[in-house]
Amino acid sequence: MLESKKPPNTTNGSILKIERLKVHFPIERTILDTVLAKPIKVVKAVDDVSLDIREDEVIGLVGETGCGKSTIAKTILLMHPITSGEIIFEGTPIRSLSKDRRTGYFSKVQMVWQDPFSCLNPRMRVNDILSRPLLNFKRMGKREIRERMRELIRIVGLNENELSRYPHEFSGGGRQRIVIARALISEPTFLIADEPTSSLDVSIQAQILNLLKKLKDKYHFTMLFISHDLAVINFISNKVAVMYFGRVVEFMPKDHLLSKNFHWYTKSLIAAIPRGRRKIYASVSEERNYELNYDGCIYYHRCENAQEKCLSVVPDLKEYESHHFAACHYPNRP
Amino acid sequence: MDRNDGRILDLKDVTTRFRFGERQLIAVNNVSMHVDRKEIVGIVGESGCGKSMTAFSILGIVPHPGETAAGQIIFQGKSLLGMSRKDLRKLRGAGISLIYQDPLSSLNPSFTVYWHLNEVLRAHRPDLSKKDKNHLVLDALKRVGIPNPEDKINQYPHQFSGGMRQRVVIAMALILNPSLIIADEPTTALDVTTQKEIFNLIEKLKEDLSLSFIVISHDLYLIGERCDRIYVMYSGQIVESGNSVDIFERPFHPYTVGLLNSIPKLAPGIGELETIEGDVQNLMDLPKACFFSTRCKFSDEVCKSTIQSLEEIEKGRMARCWKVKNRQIQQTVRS
Repeated sequence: MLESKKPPNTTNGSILKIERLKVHFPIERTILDTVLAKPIKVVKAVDDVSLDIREDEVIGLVGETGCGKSTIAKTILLMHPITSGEIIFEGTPIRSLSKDRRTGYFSKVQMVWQDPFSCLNPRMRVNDILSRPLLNFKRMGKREIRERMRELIRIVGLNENELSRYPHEFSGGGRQRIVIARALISEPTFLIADEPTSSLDVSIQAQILNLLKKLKDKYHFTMLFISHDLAVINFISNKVAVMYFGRVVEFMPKDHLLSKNFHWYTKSLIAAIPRGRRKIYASVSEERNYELNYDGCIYYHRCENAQEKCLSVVPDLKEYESHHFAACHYPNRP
Repeated sequence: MDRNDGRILDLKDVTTRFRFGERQLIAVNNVSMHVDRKEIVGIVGESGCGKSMTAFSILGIVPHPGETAAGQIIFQGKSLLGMSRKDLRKLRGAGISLIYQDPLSSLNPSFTVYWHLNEVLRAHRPDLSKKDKNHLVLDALKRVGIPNPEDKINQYPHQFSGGMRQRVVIAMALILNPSLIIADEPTTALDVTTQKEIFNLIEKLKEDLSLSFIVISHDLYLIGERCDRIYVMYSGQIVESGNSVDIFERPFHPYTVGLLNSIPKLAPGIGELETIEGDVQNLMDLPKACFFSTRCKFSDEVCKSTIQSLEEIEKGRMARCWKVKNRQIQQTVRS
């Protein structure tokens, strides 16, 4: 019933489109500030981000702490108000969704959270946790629900008799499997995974990443995979968006990530990843002193190729090669 | 042994256990390791493998009801295990100091940076005048690369970025000129670019001040890139040790190989990651077997019925696996 609402081919393969999205949070003001009519200060968590996510793609969203990765995820799930811009899901702007249609939207857009210890209710059994999305979103009989749960729990690599257990009886990897099952049980077409493996050990991380890849091949959902780890992004995604201070500075096919990155920030991120070969480092790099009030490129103060123009003009995302965008005036051309 | 001159720390068969009535949990199981002067030694393993407990055992800060029940810890010729609490307290900070994982929680938000650094001096050097203390504080902050320390000392931790906070924590560890610094996951809470800067700083300090470091991390690649020698731990035991270059080129123990293969790499076209199946050993109930035998793909009846000992495979290379010693298994690390 919900599936039939999908508009016929108006989306041109694009499932989720973010258009010049801004999410700003005002900093708290005192009454005095208001009386004196001081300008409202805002934190620009997401500033002018455009992304076009097509069906069946896995977009890796990578960036450092505080660059706005999770804010984008939460905004897609309507947890933060949009300051300006638009998020369009299957042809409909999500801001204009009526209350009834939001339910349908949430059944199609699901999230795998970062910390499997805090996102499962410790007082609910696994079968309560898994059946909740079905009770909320689908009209299904008890038997049908039971069957779906049994099927899915096996697919994510757990045992049927574990359905009656509580979350604390599972290890971190087991819990993350439950979180993934909960996200997938309503058959979403779009899955957001916000650092799903960063709280897990590497051997468990490998299991979860393999599982996500397998499920992706089985169910053909589209995924927005958020991580700070470029190697993980490189493993799972087919397009990579690099964020820096609220902006997407580069958006490229995965093949370009290692060999043909244009933005200097991407280059420095890749260079910073430890490779396991013992190296001796001689010098300590120093940050450039910078003025906070300038209009130019946000990466100016750390960029190794910063020039005068970068201080005064904000670079827009420009298509340097087909499907490869970078926001840089003087891109790195390897 | 002529190298003994430069040996700073020597652990011999250290065992740390926690007692819960009749039952006991062995967190550190017969660990032997050493650290030489101007050496960065890495301890790597997954959560719960005893990395941090080894560090705590060295410093004598194992939380109750834990105790270091057996073994010897020799630091610069002195045995630490029999030492009185007063002497140990003097040694912490001045001889060995510790950098904690999370710079947010190891600094008190309601005190300034100056207070934190001065606290170390208040506790250890009451003989110094205020002027000397100020001088030492500024000096320590300069050494860790904090620009304009004179302006920064009266600021609070929240006014610093994560990397800068960790520099303050390193300055606290440095201020009494210790000869060994233990860094317990120093960059886990930080971004990769900041991580690179912090480790550049650690290597610079090592050179400038002839310091030794023990770096504890779960990131095998980071440890391999930044440490001279590596100890790989599993279930409280060291399962492999050796020069970092050698371990990366030819890892011996199946656990090390499994770890290396399960980490996603920055290389194009990886189909599926290798995983280590099964669960880690329950430390409350240790079997008479190789602890890794439940997860090892090479394990057989012998592995499941005999306790393995750490044996020298090549010069300077130890591994806890009889099959490795007898050259019975072939393993490859995927590049």
